[in-house]
Amino acid sequence: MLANKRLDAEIFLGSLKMAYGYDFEHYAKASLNRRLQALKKHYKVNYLTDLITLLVNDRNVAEHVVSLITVPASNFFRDPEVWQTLREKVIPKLASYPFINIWQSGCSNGEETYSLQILLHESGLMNKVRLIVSDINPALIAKAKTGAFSKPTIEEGAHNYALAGGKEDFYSYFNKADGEYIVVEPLRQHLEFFAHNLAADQSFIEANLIVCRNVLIYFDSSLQDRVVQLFNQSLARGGYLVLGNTESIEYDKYELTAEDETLRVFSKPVRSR
Amino acid sequence: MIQAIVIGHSAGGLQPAITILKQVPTGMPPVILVCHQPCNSAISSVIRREVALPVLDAYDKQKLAHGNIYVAPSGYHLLMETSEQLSISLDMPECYVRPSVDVLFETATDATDGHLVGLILSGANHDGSKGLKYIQDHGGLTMVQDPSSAKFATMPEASLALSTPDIVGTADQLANKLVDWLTR
Ligand SMILES: C[S@@+](CC[C@H](N)C(=O)[O-])C[C@H]1O[C@@H](n2cnc3c(N)ncnc32)[C@H](O)[C@@H]1O
Repeated sequence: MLANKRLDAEIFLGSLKMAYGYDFEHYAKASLNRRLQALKKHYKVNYLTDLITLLVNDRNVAEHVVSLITVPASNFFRDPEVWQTLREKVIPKLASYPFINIWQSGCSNGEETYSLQILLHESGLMNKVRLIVSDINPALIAKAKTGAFSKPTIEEGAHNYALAGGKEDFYSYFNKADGEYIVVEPLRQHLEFFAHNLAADQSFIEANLIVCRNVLIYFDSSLQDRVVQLFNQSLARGGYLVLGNTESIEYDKYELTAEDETLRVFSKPVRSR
Repeated sequence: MIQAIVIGHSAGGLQPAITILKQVPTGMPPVILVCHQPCNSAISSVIRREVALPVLDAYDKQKLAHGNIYVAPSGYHLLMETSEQLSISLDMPECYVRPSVDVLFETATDATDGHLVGLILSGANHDGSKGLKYIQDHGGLTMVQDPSSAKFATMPEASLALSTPDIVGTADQLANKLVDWLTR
């Protein structure tokens, strides 16, 4: 990358950090750079530094910038094999606990949140689960809370749900209103949303299952390391960690065990080694 | 010094890709492949059967090594993070596709400062044309499969409309020239 392009990006991100505390310094550079170039197009400026006055004086602009550089892409039951493994291998293990804490980090619009809720509902565990859902982006959390999804999202979801071993009528989990599909009331229970930034915030839970898929890909190796340590601290012994299909961690280093290496399902041993 | 070889193809591009990969000698800079087929791990096993070099399914933050072939996972963009490392993103599809050839080609150009070779083979959409132009604009070497020899001409034609590649030819001709560049 050209040196002045890099400098332009660094000064801009530095301002975002100084004014609002959002720190993207340890985000993976290649994809971050592409989103920053798209941001320039969106605001019709030649340099990101042209945006700084607007950025530091208008919180709405800052929130919008954060939305553009954190990526909200998600799907119901993305990578169906993973969800099948959750359903058939992980959830049955948790079923014996009197009470189950689950943390889902990086919820996007909530596609994965409600995928989890569907599995928990179908396994009959809803009543003893507390599902805590977080994301860096408050706008996404607000969106995820509404539980409203578009038709194409739901159609793709139905397809993936079946591939993931779902036997019920996927559409029965939604009410149709004004062309949107709204998650039914029973699947909205035992659910708590809050803003949590993996790059800055601390551990707050002892979880039996942590699901954080396709968030680590946005981080460089040093931030990935911080976050996996945070997950490790936040896992109860015998708890599970599920990452995205292309994400790789040196799980040994964190004393985690690979339950399924290809699907990125890890566990924290019951006894320390 | 060439630091990476990046190949983009879609419908009808697997055979020519294999023809070319078969000719790449051992120990060359990493070869990175983006194709649009729905299940890319099936693609990599087909290539693995035909080609002597190790064929790896690419994953996030994977270290690149000379002599290997890396295939983009389906549903994710594949990027070059540095000249020695790959990365993955779930950013929006570009040209309606994910993985997108443009995304790989542009990030690979930035990561290698233009020290790379880009190839566009048969395919039925426009993805890759912007990326190939970007490679050429930054001093990289470019090759396009001759549209008349491609099963689907759209992808090569789109590239020819945007840039003037160093070589246009059949898969065999591209393979020969590539080996020439790599070994001279
Ligand atoms: C590509 S989406 C993944 C959504 C979903 N987990 C999936 O795999 O389908 C990435 C999500 O990570 C969130 N994110 C990015 N940086 C974050 C951070 N530092 N802390 C918490 N969440 C973050 C984004 O806001 C976005 O919702």
